Amino acid sequence: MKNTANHNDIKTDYKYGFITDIDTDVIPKGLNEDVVGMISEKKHEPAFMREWRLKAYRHWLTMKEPHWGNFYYAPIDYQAISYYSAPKRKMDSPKNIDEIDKELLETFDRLGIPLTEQKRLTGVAVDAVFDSVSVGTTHKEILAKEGIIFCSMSEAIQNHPDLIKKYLGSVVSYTDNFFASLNSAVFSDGSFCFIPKGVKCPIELSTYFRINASETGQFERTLIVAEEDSFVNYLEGCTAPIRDSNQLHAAVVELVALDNAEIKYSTVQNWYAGDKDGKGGIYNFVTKRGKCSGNNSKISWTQVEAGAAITWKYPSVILQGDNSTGRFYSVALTNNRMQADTGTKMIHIGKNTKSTIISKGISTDYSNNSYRGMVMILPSANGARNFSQCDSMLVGNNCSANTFPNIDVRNNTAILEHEASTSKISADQIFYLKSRGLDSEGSVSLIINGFCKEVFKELPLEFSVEAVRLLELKLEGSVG
Amino acid sequence: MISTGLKPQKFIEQLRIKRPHSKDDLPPWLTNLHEEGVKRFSDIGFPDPKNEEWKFTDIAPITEKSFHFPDEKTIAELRSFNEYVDRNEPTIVFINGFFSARYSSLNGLEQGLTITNLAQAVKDQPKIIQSLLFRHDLKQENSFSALNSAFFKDGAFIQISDNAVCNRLIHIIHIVSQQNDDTVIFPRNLIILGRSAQAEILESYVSFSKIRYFTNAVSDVFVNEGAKLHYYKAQGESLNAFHLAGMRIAQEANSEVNTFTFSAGAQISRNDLSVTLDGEGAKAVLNGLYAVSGNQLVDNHTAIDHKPPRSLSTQLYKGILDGNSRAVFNGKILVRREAQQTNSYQLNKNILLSPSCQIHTKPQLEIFADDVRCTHGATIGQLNDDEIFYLQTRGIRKDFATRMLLCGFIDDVTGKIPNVSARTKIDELLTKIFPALKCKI
Amino acid sequence: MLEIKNLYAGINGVSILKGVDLTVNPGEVHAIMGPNGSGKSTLAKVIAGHPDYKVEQGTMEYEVNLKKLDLAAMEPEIRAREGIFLAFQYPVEIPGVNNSVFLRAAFNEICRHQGAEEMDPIEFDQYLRQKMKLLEMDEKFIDRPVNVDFSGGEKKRNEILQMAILAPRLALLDETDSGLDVDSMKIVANGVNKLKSKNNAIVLITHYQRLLNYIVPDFVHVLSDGKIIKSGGKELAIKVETQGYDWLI
Repeated sequence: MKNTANHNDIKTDYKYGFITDIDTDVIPKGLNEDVVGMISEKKHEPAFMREWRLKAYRHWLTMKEPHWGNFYYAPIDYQAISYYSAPKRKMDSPKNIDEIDKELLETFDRLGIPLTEQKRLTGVAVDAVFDSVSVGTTHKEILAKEGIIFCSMSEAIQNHPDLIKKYLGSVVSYTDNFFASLNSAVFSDGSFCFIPKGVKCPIELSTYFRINASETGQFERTLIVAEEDSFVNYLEGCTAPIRDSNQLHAAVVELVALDNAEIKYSTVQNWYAGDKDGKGGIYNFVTKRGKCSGNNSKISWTQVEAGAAITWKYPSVILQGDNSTGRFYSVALTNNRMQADTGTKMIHIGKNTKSTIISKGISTDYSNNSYRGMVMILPSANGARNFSQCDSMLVGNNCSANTFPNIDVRNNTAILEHEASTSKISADQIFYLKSRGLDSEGSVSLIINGFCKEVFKELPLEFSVEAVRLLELKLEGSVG
Repeated sequence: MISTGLKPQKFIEQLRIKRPHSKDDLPPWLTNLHEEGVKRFSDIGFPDPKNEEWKFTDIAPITEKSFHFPDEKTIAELRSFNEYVDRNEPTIVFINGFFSARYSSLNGLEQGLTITNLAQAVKDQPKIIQSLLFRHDLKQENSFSALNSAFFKDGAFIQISDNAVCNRLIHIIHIVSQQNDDTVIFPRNLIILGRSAQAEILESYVSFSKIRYFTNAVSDVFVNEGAKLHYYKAQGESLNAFHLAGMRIAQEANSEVNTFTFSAGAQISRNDLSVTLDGEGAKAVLNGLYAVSGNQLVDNHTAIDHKPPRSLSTQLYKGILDGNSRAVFNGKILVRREAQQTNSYQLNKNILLSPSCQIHTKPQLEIFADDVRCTHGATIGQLNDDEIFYLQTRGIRKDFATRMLLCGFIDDVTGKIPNVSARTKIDELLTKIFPALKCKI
Repeated sequence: MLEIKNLYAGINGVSILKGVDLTVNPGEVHAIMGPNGSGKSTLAKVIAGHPDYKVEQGTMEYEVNLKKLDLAAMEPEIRAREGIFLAFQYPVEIPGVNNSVFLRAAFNEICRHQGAEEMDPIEFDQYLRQKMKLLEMDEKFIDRPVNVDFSGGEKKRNEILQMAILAPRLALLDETDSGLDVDSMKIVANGVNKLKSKNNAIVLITHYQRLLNYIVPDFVHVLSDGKIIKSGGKELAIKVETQGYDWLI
C-alpha cells in the first residue's frame, strides 16, 4: 500500500504535516482475537505476551469508552481502524542505523531527528518510532558500556523477557482503563529503558514518535525502570502528517523508580491538531503513570502539550516509597478547535511524600482547555506535602478554560496548598510593552513565556527552545 | 441522572399516605406544583454515589429509613429555646414544621416589612407567591429540591418592599422538638427584597434534643436592583439528624448579598447554595464555617453563575474537623461568555485535628469569557507547632494555645458577621456543639 | 539564677550543643556571640523548651525565690510562668489571634501562676498602652493579629513589648537587633535598658557587637561548634568585631 502526498494544497503552519511515501505492511482493519494474535506473531513474541494481550483484549470487551472528559468527539468505530502498520523493510531487522531505509532516514532528518552516525545528535540517544514500530536506536554503544538497556519494546520482549514479565503492567495494569486495556491488547512497539543499580545515565534518552499511515491507530508502550540509586533523563517528541480524518493514538507509559532512583520524563507533544475548523487531527488518549516504589525515589513529568485535536492525559505518580517525590509541570496550549483535558494524579501512600503540581493552560480561538487533577493523601502518608498551582490564560473571547482539582485527604498530618487563577493578557500589559518598542506578537510571546517560565525551566535546554518556538508559532495571529 | 436502586417511589408513597392535610385546602396551582415535584423526584430518584455531585456524601442512612410527619407543635426544651431567641427581634418560629404564632414575634414590624408564614401568604397574596414559586424551572430541580417541592407545606415568607430598610435582625427559626425518631420536615422559605431594600436575616435550624429526624429545606431568595441582604444560616440540628438544604439566590443589578453558612450539627448535613448573578454589578460574598467531630459528615456545595458583565463574587469557607468526621467542599464558579470583567475569588481552608478525619475539596472553575480575574485556593493542614510553642513561651497552656489558634483560624469568617445578634447566636450554637471553639477568655 | 552544666542538645538526632556551661546571676547582662551555625539560637530554644530539641546530657538549673527547678523537665509554658522569656529571632505570625487578647491571656496566666493579681480588660488596656509608649509603638498594633503583616522591625518591637508586659526574670533576646535600622535599634535597646533591674537578668544573643554599644553586657561569651570557647568582659566583643572569630577557633 502506498500513501500519496497531498499536503501541498493545504495551507497550514504545521511544518511536520508532510507524508512519507513508503511501502507499508498494514493489517486489515478491525479488531478481534485473531488480530491480537497476528500482532503478537508479527513481533515474534513469546507465549506469555500473547496470553497477556488476549487477557487484556477480553477485559477491554467488557469496558465502556469513558466520557467524563470535558470534550466531545464523534463515536470511534474501533472496527474501522487498522491496528498495525509498519514500513516494509528490505531486511527484517536492521542491525545498525545504516541499514534503515533511505526514506525513513530522510523523514527523521526532516523532523530534525537525524539518525545516521555522521549526523546524529550528540548527547541524546534516540529511539525513532515510525507508525507502529521502532526503526532504530542511536548511541547504543555508549549505553551498553554502562549496562543500560535502551531498545524498542519488541526487542526487549524478545531479549529481556524476565524484566518485561516483572515490570510490564506493574504500574498500569491491563485492566486500568478503556484505552490502557486496548493498548495492552494491541500495542505494536515503543521504547524500553532499564537503568541498572547505581548508574547515572550519561546521555539523555529520547523517543520520537511519528504517525505516518492513514486510518491506523498508534499504540505504543513505553516502560522505564530505574533501579536503586540510578538516574535518567528521558525525552519524548511526537508529530504526524496532516490528514483530514481523525486518528487514534492510545499510548501507555509506565515508569518505575526503586530506592533513591530518579526519572525525569519530558514530552513536547505536537501531534497534528486538525485544521482551523477542527477537521482531522490526532485523538491523544494516553495513560502515563509512574510509581515511586522505592524510598527517596523521584519521578517528574514535564509536558508541553501543543498538538492533537483532543488530549486526554493525566501523567501521574504513585508515591509509595517513604520520602518519595512526584512532580508535574505542564503547559497546555490549545488553539483553533482543539480540546485538551489534562492534568495529573498524585497518590500519596508513603510517609513524608511530597508532590508539586504546576500547570499552565493557554486557550485561544475556539478551543477548550481543562485542568483536571487529583491529589490523594492516604491514611498511611504521614507528613505528606502537596503544593499545586494551576493557572489559565485566555486569549480571545471564544475559548474556555476550566479547572477541576480534586483534593482528597485522609491524614491529618498532611499539608496541602492549592492555588489557581485565570486571567487574560491585559491591554495595559500589551500597551506597556509596545511603548517599549515591541510589536504585538512579540509582546504576547513575552507574556506567554513569562507565564510558562516555571515549566520551561524544567525542560532540557534544546527542548525548551523548541517549546518556546512551538508556542510562538501556534499563537501567531491569535492576538490582534 | 439515572434513578438508582434506592426506590424513590416507595419513599414517596410512604410519605403520601401519611400526608397530614387534604389537598382540598390548596389552590390548584399549588397542588400542581406538588405534583410536578413528585414527578421530577420520581424521574431522577435519589442521587447515587456515582453521581459526581454526591460522590463523597453517602445518603443511604437517609434513604433506607421510613420517615413520617410530626404531629405536635410544642416545645419541650423551652428554656434552651428562650435562651436562643430574642423576642425583641422580628422572629418567626416553626415547631416541627408547624408555624407557631405563639412563639413568634411579629408585632410592630418596620414599615415595608412583611413577615408571615408561607401557607398564610398563599391565601393573602396568591398571585405573587405563585409567580415566585414557579420562578425556578421544576424540571431542572435536583433530587432534594424536587422532594421539597413535592411535600413542603409551610415556611417563612419575608418581603421587604422597595427602599425599605430593616435594621433589626429578622430571625427565622425551625426547631424540631421532642418527638419520636424519624420524623421529616420540609420547610420552604421565600424571601424577596424590593429595589434598594436592605435587611439582615438569620435562618436557624435547631433542636435541643438528641432525636433523629430529617430536615429537607429549600430557601428561595430574590434580591432586586440595588438591594442589600445579609443572610446567615445557622445549622445546629440534633447530632442524630439529617439536614439536606438548598438555597437559591437570584440577584439583580448592583445588588449585594452576603451569606454566612454555618454548620455544626446533624449527622449528615449538606448545603447546596447557588447564586445567580443576573444583573450587572451584582456582588455576592459567600462565607462559611463548618466544625464537625465524631462520625459527622458535612458537605457544602456552592455554585455561582456569573451571567452579566462586571459582577463580583468572593467565597471563604473554613472548616475544622475532629474525630472520624468528614467534610466535603465543592465550589463551582461559572463565568459565561457575556460576563466580561468578572471578578471571582474562592478559598477553602481546613484544619484536621485527628488522624482519622477526611476532607474532600474540589474547587471548579468554568470560564468562557476572557476578561476575567478568577482565583481559587484550598489548604489543608493541622495546627502549626511553631505557633503553639510561641504561645507556650508566653505562658499559655498548650490546650488553651490550641483553642486560641483555632479561634484565630475561624476569626476571619466569624469576624465578618457584622450583626452582633447573629454572631452571638451562631457562637452559642458553635460552642455548645463544638466546645473546643469556646474562645471567650 | 540559671546554671547550665555540660549541656548537650540536638535536633533529629544531630547534636548541636556539645557541652555548654553557663551561669547567669540576677542583675547581670550576658552576651553570647559566635559565628553562624555555632548553636546560639539552639541554646535559646533549648532554654525556652522547644519540643523539637532534645537535651541529651547535662543540666539546666533555674533558681527562683529560693527554689531550684530543673528546666528540662518543665513544659515551655511553665518555664514562661516562672519568668523565662524568649524574644524570637523570627517571631511567628498568628493570623486571627488579636494582639491584645493574646497579651492579656499570657499576662494573666503568668500572674495566676505567680500569685499576683490578674487584670481586667480595661486595666490591661491602660497598662498595654503605657508600655507601648515606652517602645514608641503605634496603637493600631493593639487590635492587629499577632505579628501578621508586621514589618521585620515591628515584629522585633512587638517582642520587646511582650517582654515589657510580662516582666520576665530571665530574658533571652535572640538576634533582636537583626533587621533593625539604627533608630529602631536605639528604641529597642532603650526599652530593654529600662526593663533591666537588679532582680532580673538578660541574655543577648547576637551576631554583631553593634547592639552591645547600647545594651552594655557584663559578660561576653563566644560560642563555637556548640561550646563556649571564650568568656570575658565587654572588650571581648570589641575584639571579635575587629578581628573576627578565627583567632579563637
